[in-house]
Amino acid sequence: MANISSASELIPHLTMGSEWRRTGFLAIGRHFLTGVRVAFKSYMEIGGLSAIIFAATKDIFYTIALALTLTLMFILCQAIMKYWFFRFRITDHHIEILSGIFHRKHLNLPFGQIQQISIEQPAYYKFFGNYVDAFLDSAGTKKNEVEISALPGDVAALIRLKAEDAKSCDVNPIQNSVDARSPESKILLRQNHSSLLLYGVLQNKLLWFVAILFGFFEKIKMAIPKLLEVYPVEMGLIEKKIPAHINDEIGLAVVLVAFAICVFLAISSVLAWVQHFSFTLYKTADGFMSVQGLLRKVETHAKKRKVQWVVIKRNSIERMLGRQNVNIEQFGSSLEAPCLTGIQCNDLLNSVMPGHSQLNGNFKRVSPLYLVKQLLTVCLPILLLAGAFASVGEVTQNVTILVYFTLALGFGFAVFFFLQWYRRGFFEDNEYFYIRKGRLIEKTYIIPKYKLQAASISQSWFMKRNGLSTCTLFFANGRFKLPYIGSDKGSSIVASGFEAVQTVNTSWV
Amino acid sequence: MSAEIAPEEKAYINALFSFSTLPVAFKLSNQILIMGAFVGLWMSALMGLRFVSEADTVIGRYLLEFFCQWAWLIWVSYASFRWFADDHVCYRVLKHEVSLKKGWITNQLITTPVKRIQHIEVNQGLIDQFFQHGELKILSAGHCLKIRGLPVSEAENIRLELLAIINGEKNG
Repeated sequence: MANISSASELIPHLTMGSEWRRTGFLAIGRHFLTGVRVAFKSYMEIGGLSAIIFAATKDIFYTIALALTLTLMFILCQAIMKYWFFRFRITDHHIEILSGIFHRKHLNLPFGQIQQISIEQPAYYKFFGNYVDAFLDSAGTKKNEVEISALPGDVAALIRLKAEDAKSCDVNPIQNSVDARSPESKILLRQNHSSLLLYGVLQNKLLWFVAILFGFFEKIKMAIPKLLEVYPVEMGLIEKKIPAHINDEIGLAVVLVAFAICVFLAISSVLAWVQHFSFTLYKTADGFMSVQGLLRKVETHAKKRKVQWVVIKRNSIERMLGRQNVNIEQFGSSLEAPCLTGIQCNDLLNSVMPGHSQLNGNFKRVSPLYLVKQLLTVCLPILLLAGAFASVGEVTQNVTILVYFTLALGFGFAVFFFLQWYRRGFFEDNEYFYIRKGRLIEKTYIIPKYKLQAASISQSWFMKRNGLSTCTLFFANGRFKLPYIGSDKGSSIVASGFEAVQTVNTSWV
Repeated sequence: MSAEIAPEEKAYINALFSFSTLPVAFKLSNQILIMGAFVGLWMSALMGLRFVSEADTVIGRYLLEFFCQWAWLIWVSYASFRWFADDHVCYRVLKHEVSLKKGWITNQLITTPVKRIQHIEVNQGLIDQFFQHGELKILSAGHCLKIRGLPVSEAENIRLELLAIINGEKNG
């Protein structure tokens, strides 16, 4: 705590915790300029105001002048009120903000939770003294939690000092980044060109579909016109106006479009290879770093303490070939290792998530009632709709197509939900949660338990009768829903996560 | 969430609030009043502007029928549902976690560990200020726990207690 007291000694008059202070008068100017920018982006409101004035006066110049004047006056009043109703105070441990006119907000931001401080000084501030704009960001929301305009420079310095002091009191302070090429770093894996080319091809599943169709393009080109003769699309006037020979040209157009798609996908596959060219993953003193790219070298850093989870992604073709893509996701960004073999993947996981369990065969599926519920709520109404179409009136060509289309849609949804249920699985050990999900692309998440931010358990009357519940786990990078799991299991998952939060003495970020 | 409550936490619960005794104070929330005002405004506008009687179109007749006959019913149904559902909302502040229990048809229990709290807000809209109640927001990374309809004094007390717990943990 020596550092905090030194900050207090430096600027003692600013740390009297009971006094509320206002920002400088310059804040009115800042709010005014912001309001003008926002107002003129919102042309709908100004357009509406102008329309009302024009309807009354029938004079365009008078309308513009009056609309502009009224808008600027409103913005100025708003800026003054925003300045008047904004107050802050700094205590030993947090900064408090009181703001809002009609919607009042009282915010407490502990210094230890401030992730980022940005201090800016617009050019016109310099004429009025040492004033700055401060933006304080924690992990609570995506945008800045606190924006203070026209803050005296010494107050901004004090806030920065207190935030830095609070961070230095952490049990595990942030270590300095180490260059990947320094002696402390070592190469974790290096990807060869064949793997990267394979990755580029495997990512474009449509390419596979179109490539398979290539063998049948001639037959498709001949079949489409015949199909249109047997099943002409009843488009009223259009059918009467289109000549018969156009059906042949439709077939040719389909082939040409498919060929263009093929060429485009081939180019994008090569581009993917170029993007990941010479991919090398280093293990540094405080985390990981990847270097890749042919035309543009890209370095991505991932500090170990900021890593939120690891996700292993693979589609059905990659599963057949024994390949997977691993993403190391940290708070705010991610690092991707493409097209790894099984051994490479295991080595990487052992480095990033040491002590993790074997993934194969351990996942428990959620209750089949989850699948039943989705089929009943989505597919059953579609089925009934198809039945309604089939039973109404005269059976025409269009009605038949509609019935088949509706049935196909229902069947598609059923397959979709089945895959979703089949893939969804979870288990846990002492240190990690393991969650698997996805439909066409299987994703497996390995998440340290102590990264848990919040949890929710919900139970409908149907779930209660069957001893089930839905457990949702919230992390900094996202949330995971475990639907229709046993009530006891859900409670134990949450309890074990919270226990890890209390016992593991490592910062989550 | 804790199966066994430590003695110091029992005193804490008695001193603060428990699940069974204190639902949120004000059940008729902003949303219901604003929605009612919106419906009333549209009904007045349609009647006052004589939109239907002068235009007498199919759409005009449909709009009038909808807003006069059904909108108030939707509003009353929604207000009644919220009245009963909000009776089931209650919260708990412990040394290590904050929990909110809500839901009428589907029960939901949301918990945030105190260690993961990023910052705390107490918000008051215009109608909230009139009735002296507000919304307590407890933000962690990736989640926001909202307790609506609290008296402002209660919300401030909880805010101060949570800050004291957070600072107490930091001081060891």
